Amino acid sequence: MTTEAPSFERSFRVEGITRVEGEGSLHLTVRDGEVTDARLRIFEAPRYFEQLVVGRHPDQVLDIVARICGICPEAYQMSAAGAFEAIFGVTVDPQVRALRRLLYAGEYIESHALHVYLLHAPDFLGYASAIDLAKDHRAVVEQGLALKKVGNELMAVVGGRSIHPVNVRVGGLYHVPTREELLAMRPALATALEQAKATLDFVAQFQAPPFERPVRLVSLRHPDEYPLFAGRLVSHDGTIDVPIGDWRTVFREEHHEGSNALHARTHAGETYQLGPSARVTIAAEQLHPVAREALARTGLADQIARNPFWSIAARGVELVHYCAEAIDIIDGYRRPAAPFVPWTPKAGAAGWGSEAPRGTCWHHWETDERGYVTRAQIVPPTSQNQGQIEADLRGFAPSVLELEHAEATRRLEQLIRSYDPCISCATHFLDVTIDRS
Amino acid sequence: MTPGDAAGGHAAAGSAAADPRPGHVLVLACGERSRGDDAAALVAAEQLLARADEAGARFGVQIRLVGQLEPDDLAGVGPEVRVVVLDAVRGVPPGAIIHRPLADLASSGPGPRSSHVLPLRDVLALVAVLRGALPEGSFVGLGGESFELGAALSPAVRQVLPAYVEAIRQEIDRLGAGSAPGGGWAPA
Repeated sequence: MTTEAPSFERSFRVEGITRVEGEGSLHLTVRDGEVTDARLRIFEAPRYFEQLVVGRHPDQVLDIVARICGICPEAYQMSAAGAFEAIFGVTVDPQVRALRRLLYAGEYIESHALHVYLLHAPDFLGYASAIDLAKDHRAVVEQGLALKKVGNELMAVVGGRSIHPVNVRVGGLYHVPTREELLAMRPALATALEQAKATLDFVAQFQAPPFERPVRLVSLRHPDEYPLFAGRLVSHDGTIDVPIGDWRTVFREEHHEGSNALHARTHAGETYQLGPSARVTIAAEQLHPVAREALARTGLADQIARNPFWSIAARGVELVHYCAEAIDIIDGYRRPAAPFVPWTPKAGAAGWGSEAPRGTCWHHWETDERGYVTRAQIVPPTSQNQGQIEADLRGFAPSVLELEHAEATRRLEQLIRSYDPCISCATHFLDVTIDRS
Repeated sequence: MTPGDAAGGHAAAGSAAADPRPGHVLVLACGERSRGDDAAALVAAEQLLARADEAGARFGVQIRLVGQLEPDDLAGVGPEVRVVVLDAVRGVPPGAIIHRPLADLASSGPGPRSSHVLPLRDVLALVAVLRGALPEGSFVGLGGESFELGAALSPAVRQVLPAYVEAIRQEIDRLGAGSAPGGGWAPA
């Protein structure tokens, strides 16, 4: 005879004043002390944008998709621009291409500084928030804000404004800055580079929860540059290596019950991890020498590949990389004769991807003979990471289940935050429900 | 009370005058245009900007459309500059106009921490810690009804928008008058 153990549900809501809307929740199901299910429900804006862009001109599309996210607009712009340029057979001027990397560098610096200092570091240092961290370590938070400001300024100089930049167009940019305008950024970037090195040294001293697991890391890889918006889509274990446009040959999106977001898996149904840990592992050789040296100094390369909590160190490495690369780009900049290459519209289809700070953002676009959009598929990094986040939650949750709810929630949020997911673009709070029996 | 959603972060910046000077008023409008009533503060600020040549020239009022409020928006504000933060609000009746001192909105205890952005209350609290105090000023919010992607302003918000603009203007008057010697506006 078996007796069904009485089940009970313990739920609590984390709520407060934010500028974002409540559509995120985590539901854990526990049976006999084992987590049998973990579901992270996420509202996903790109689905709406896929419909909004149909019938639009490609240059309109670049401004529209930039609004999907206020933190990583370049990911959406560059993925779409790459696809359109593939359809229309456009090769961007090398100096303009460098400016696009510079613009994207600004996004990385801004996004990573925000995440490392104001969102993730308090988890490691035992503070409830960046506010409490600032009370005890004002200089630390000010350094993070200073780094973030440099990223914002770089985006404004190259992108026209710091949030939702408006300067990217198919074939290049609308406007290219003068050499003097870029040189004006150099002193701030030189300071930022030193701050970025200090950031990495700082976070490398943190104690990450001991949670190592086998995982498949995926990112773009390019033989000559740190992955951003070109190269091949590869995994660190060598099992995936396809052209950037061939995402669909390896991965697929699928609906999951209880979520309006699509989840991505390999065709074999496997999860995978995108983002800074994947890039630092896969493209370590393409890191700027200064960043490579900084990573070596931490001795964390192996742990970055295995423990998701160490993504904070990978972000530190990328902060160093993009500050250093931005300086190199500025030093080598010669203003191009024309900001963009003219293009002729035609019917076609192409996939393209770029590396958002939180992972590969993949797009597929189809156009009619006028070049107008007839169909779009936008696969954000968070929907691809979601399966791995849930897998990690299943693996990690047993170690925190005996803690009080508030502390358990904090630990689980720390894990989710390791992926820097886009959930809070549309998430007012995270409801955590633990269903035990 | 909950300032409403901003899925897209900062909107375009606008300005009615040069950097705010002592005795002047800085207006920071938050919102996201693509999300229904979340655009309310931006639309109201634009209507103010339409009158900004006059207001800016006379009073030195500066209006910025910031979308998502960031610490930098407040960090450099001088001690004698008054600040008005505008945003859509959830948790109050649609169309309700809300006034709060800025300090009342700053988070004072543990709460949810976003994975991606700093919410308004955290920005205010962080600025208060780093500066020692928040700039003097107030929050003027408008209750929203719908924050769906792609939605337009709801009828309830559209109807009350003129009153909201007037409430903002009066708050600018109040703060500006209170900050200038002799109770008048400091000239630009």
